[in-house]
Amino acid sequence: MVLTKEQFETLGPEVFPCKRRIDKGTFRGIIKDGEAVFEKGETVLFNDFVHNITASGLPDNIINLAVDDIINSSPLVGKYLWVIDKSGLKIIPESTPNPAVTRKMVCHTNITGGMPALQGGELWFGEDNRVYVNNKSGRYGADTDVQEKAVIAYFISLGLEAVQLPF
Amino acid sequence: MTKLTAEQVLAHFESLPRDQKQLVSSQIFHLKKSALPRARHTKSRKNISQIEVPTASFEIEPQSYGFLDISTKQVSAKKRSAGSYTLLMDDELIEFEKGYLETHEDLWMLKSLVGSHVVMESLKRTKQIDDVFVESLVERHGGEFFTDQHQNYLLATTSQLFESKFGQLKVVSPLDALKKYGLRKMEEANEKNYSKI
Repeated sequence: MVLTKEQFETLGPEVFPCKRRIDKGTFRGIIKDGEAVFEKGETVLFNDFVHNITASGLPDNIINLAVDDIINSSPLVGKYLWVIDKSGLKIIPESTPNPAVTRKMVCHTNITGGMPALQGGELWFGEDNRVYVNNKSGRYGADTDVQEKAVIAYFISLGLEAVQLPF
Repeated sequence: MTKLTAEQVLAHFESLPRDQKQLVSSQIFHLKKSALPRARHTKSRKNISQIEVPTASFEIEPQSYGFLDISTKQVSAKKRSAGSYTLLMDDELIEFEKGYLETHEDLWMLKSLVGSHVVMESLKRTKQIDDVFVESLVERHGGEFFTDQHQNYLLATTSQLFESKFGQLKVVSPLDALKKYGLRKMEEANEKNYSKI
């Protein structure tokens, strides 16, 4: 089973990208029919570059970094964007080029194709074999303490030694 | 082809700034002799006022008066500061002045924050990227930001999670956020919900 009912409930609810911010009135972009409107390139599904850890385990070519670097510099090289949706935990290196968008790099909606997800953030793999996780995502980021804890719990349930990065 | 009198040409020439006058002078030097009115040497005792005044004809659009098409309307005559340059963007000549943006390549941060269409529509009107341009767009379209009480974090949204970590959040106007923390931090906060400052 990809997600238990309890995991789904504590991680969720599932939301379209930026919905949590739209509901709070803090979304800056265009809204149509209650949903955020994105640049075309932001909702392209980068299927060739997304890796599903729940389905396939860790990818072979992960970049492991010194823990000090992860905590102090949040380096772009070795940074992965992560999303948990109903098919599990998916990651993509943030530096994956996306020439179709203003930022020129992928964003969380390139993992989901603009579809709903439960949670999103950033992670790094440490040289100590731990995974360092935060909830930094304007599109699917956690809103509550419960969701933040549920994220780490889900990572652990996949056999990963996950560490919540401090703010 | 529009014929202009020498008086019209001279009047326009006198109205140009000095550097443009120099440019025009070098252009006239290279004009064919035949394009210039010839002095008429005659044994006639006619009064010069009775002689028809020759006109200069230029085979160009009347509004350019035969000068190179570097219009003073497009290129600012003011002294340029370091880091300033002109660029061609979407068929428009745009003046760039360094400030909040190091180079025009940083424009993506402003586009990401306020929207590409907003930036490009404004650029069509102003034809200038400078701090005034950036401030104007951020003030009108930047939305509210927040900081924690110690101003260690810039946030683009509120949540129970952020308030449990930081306590009550302070509202910051987008213009204040721009001046204090810069466009890069604002863009990161908008994209990732928060940014360390």
